Amino acid sequence: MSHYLHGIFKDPEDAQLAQQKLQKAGVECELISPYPLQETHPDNGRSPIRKFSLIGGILGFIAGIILTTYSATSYILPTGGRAVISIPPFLLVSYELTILFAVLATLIGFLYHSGLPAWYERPHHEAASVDDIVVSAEFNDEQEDTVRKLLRDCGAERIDSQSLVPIEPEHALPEEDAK
Amino acid sequence: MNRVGNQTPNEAPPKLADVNRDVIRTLTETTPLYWWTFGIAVMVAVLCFTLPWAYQLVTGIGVAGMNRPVIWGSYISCFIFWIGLSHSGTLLSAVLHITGSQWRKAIYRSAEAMTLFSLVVAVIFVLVHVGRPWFVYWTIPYPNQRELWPNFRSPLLFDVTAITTYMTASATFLFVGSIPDFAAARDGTIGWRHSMYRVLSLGWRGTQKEWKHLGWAYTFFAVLVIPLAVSVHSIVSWDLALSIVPGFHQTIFAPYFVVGAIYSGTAGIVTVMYFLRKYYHLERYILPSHFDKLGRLLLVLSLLWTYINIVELTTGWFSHHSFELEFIDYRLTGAWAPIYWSMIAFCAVLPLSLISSRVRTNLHVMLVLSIFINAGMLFERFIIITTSLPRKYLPNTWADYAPTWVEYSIMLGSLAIFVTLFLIFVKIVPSMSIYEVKEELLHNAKHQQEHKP
Repeated sequence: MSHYLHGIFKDPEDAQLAQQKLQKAGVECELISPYPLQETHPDNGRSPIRKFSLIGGILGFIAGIILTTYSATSYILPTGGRAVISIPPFLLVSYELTILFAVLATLIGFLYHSGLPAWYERPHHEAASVDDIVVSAEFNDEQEDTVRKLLRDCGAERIDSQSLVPIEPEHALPEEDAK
Repeated sequence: MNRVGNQTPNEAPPKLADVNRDVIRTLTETTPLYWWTFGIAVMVAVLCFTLPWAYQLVTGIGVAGMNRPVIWGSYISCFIFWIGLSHSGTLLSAVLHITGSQWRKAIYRSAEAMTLFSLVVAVIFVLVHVGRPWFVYWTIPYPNQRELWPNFRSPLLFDVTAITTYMTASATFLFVGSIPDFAAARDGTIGWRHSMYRVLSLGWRGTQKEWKHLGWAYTFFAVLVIPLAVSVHSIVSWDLALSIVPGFHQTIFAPYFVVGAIYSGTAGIVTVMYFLRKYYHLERYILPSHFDKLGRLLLVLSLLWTYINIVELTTGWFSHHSFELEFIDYRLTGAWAPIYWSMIAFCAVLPLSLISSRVRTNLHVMLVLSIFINAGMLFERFIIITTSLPRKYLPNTWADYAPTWVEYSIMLGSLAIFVTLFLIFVKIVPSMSIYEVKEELLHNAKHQQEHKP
């Protein structure tokens, strides 16, 4: 059984401070909010999703070229004196497939890096869907008092607890994202 | 009337919790008016669309008025119209996202939904038009026993790939942007709705990692969707422009169609916003300032559209080619001239009134204007098809075209299908982005604090 304490904050800066202090104290915690808190993200500059988009786009373009040239040469259909392998129309089809594959790859990248879908119980507080910022900290028996005190000192308006059965390994997040 | 960009003087801006409550209320509370509208829309869709289409399928495509030389008629006009209407939503949402426009946040979700449902209706028109829709799978490239492949040099196949991509991208754009709001709805509902939103939210919690990846993915989608949307209506225009029919064979068709599509779609957003604001009581979120900005955009688009229309006519006239002159004469003075001049009145003359801010912030006037613009845009699509094909080359091939009751009925029924789909949407998907409206409120509050004397 894993135990969590949810510190509920009104002020995003207080919540961010609480998260930093908890992390310094060696407590694993997450900042959960009803809207993105960009200023709390120093590494906001780059996203690994861009690689998915790029690779998807390149694969889409190649798929488009292969599909059009292969189908044109498999069943030769002379029309209006045009070349069997006509570059302008084939580039158009490839352009569309570039975007299609890039969109799908971006979706896959987003889901993979966000650890979604995750239809199992995870630490969550409903207040984080409305107007509060929640610092969700996992604790063991020795840490409980420290975590409670830290959250309270940083300005948590309320502290709620949640207990969850451990996540099965096959449901766990990819190692890189779990950090 | 409100001052542009502000709340009504005595009304405080909503709090963050109000946003959740007000949006979730639109999902859970259903008025009798909703059920009546929904019932009528379904009834009209069945009576005016399904039954006449069934009649056409059983009897044959001959029940429509299309015949040589007018082998494209109202169905293709409607197809182009609905594709056009789809353009504002995703395109506008993406452009405004990239440019960081705060005002898009209250209106973009419904605009994106409009895109998706317009595309669905457009695809239905393809099925109606082909006469034998059970063979439509022939357009899909797949290995088959006869080693037959679609001809990718045909603009019709460009359409298939473009529209498939556009539907997929629009649906993805809409869904991914809605995930945090599905989670908010999950946490604010009980029973079967809670279970449904639990699945739709994919287990979203709102951690900073999730927000970061969502922000990036959404931006990538926006960047990909903009060239896609432009390409889709360009490609639709090439269905016509890559032929050598006078009236179709125009180099200006791609920008003409794209501008027309954004114009029509923006007017569609105004119509949808009006009804959402009024009947879902979202007056605190969808402000007259939103209508003002859409009105400015409509004015610019109207001027562009008018310019392209003048170019289209004058280039034909300057060519002094007898086929071109005949088609221009038929368009301006022939059987469909009243429709042509109505189009000019609705899309080029009436929107000039948008130069006045009083017009732009008067929501009733904006509603009427938006409906007129879309009627004009439907006429435009109809005029392009029905004034070009009947005067194709030599007089011995000329023939006039008139839609039959089956076509008129299916046109009306398609509108009912769109309304039905949209009414289902507003009961399942939060019709306003909860988290982005919160961002907008926080942004406005910060802005006001910074500018306090």
